[in-house]
Amino acid sequence: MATNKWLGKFILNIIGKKKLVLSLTIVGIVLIATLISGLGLFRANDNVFVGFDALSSSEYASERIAELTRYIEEKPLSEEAVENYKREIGYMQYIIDNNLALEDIENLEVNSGLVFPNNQNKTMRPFLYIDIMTILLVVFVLMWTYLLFFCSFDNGMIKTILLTNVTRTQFFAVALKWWLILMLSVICAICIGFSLSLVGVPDKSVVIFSGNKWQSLSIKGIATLKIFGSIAMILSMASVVLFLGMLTMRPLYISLGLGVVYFVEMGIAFLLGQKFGEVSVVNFLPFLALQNIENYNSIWSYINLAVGIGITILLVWLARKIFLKRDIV
Amino acid sequence: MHKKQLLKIENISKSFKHNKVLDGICLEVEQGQVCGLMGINGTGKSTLFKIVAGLERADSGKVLYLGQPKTDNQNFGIMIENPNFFGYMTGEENLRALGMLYDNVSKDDIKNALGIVGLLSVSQKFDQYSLGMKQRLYFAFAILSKPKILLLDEPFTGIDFLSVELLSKLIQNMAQQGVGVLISGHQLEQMQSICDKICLLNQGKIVKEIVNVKGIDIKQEFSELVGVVMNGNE
Repeated sequence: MATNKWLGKFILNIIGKKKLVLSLTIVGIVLIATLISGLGLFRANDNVFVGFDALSSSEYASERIAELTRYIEEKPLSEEAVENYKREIGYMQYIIDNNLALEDIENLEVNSGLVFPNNQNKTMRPFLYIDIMTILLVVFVLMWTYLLFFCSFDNGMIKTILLTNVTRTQFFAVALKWWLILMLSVICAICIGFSLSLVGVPDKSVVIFSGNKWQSLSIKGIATLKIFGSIAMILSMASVVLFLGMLTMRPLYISLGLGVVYFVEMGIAFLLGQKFGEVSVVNFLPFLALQNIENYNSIWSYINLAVGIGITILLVWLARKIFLKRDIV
Repeated sequence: MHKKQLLKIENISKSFKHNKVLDGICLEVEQGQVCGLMGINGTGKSTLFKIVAGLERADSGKVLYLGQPKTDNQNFGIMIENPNFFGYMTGEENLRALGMLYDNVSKDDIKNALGIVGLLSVSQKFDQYSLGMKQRLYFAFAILSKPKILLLDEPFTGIDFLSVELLSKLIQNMAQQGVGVLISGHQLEQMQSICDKICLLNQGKIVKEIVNVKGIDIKQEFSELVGVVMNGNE
């Protein structure tokens, strides 16, 4: 037990030697939480969230026509953009002319030939910003997981530490404890950031074109998915770092492996999104993206989180098993 | 006077894939005894050290400390292969950081260990050390916790003659204080001057154990080993 305490102090001492690094960690986490919340506030003022639940469909369509017409007149746009806006105006006019209700719109089929709305892009754009911030957060966390354990504790230093009183079991337990502290800090930052981002946002639905049909989606449902998805992704990716670290004890291999895993995962999510009409890289676990497309506010959000935590536990368990048994040479 | 048996290695065997590196090694180190391990490169000396230090797992056999299976490196001071320390810290900072991993290391112990190896007043970062200085710091790290046994795998490799002399004296001093030492090396005269016993290792086996090495013709003994090696390779 005493050794555990000393090992904790030892790690602090090592980090303490890199004061700049420690300061950046704290500033980084606070900054990212603030940025996420800041984006949320920006988003709260964005009129795209005044959806069909807030206005009647005809009122919304009228406002939208006025807005799109203003865009066409005032902004220098490409021919394709103008064409898209005109098609959407036509669609909105159809809603007014036929006095369509939300249910009617949701039941419209793609092949009706009416429109292909581009307002879904605008609707989801703030979410895309949050996606970008989340990706930055992920990179940040992974970088720090890597720095914390494998720049200081690369193969050589792990060997030196194991030549002292510290056993492998103790080393892994303390390393894991510090890794969890880092993870919990980041998860707190995500939760605070996303929660703040929802302040002032009415729990209205937005209508988007997804999964080959019109859908009414809950904003808070999407936000929940994003919070859970982000946590799941960060946990699973950071545990990949831990696992690869314990497996190879070579920082370079960890970085390369991580880069490959990260881009493959994002690539699969992107391709699924393209194929099934997904609007942004909402789903951080690609094998669940398909289910999420159909209904954002569903049990899949929780399954997404559960799978992320499951992957983390599995990888940490495997990392421990490998580290305790392997030769340190 | 009967000396306590500190370290006992019983039937240690180790293979890497199909290559048997160690084959039933048995060895004992007593209190105050310096036991040398010699042999040509690739005979398994370093692997044996790593197994005793707990860095590698033996396929079979036991390592006993005071008659009990060894579970950790408490009471062991270890120098194995190249020294690894934090490059951005001085020697003192490194020992202070690593000293935290022990319950019984004080600031005075750190200064004492650095003084013994002549690095107390050195303010350079570890990255700027010469190889000899690195080895001396490694030795200071090994004796930091006042160990009962020293495991020194080729401590003289690549260092200047002054550092060799200094380390030799330090090892002998430690032995006089009752510390058991298991050491490997290639310099015959050097090993003879500091060892009480030398085990000759070949193809993973101890082929000869020479006690009271001080008075013998070590070169003659070694030439016999060369004969064994040549015959073994035929």
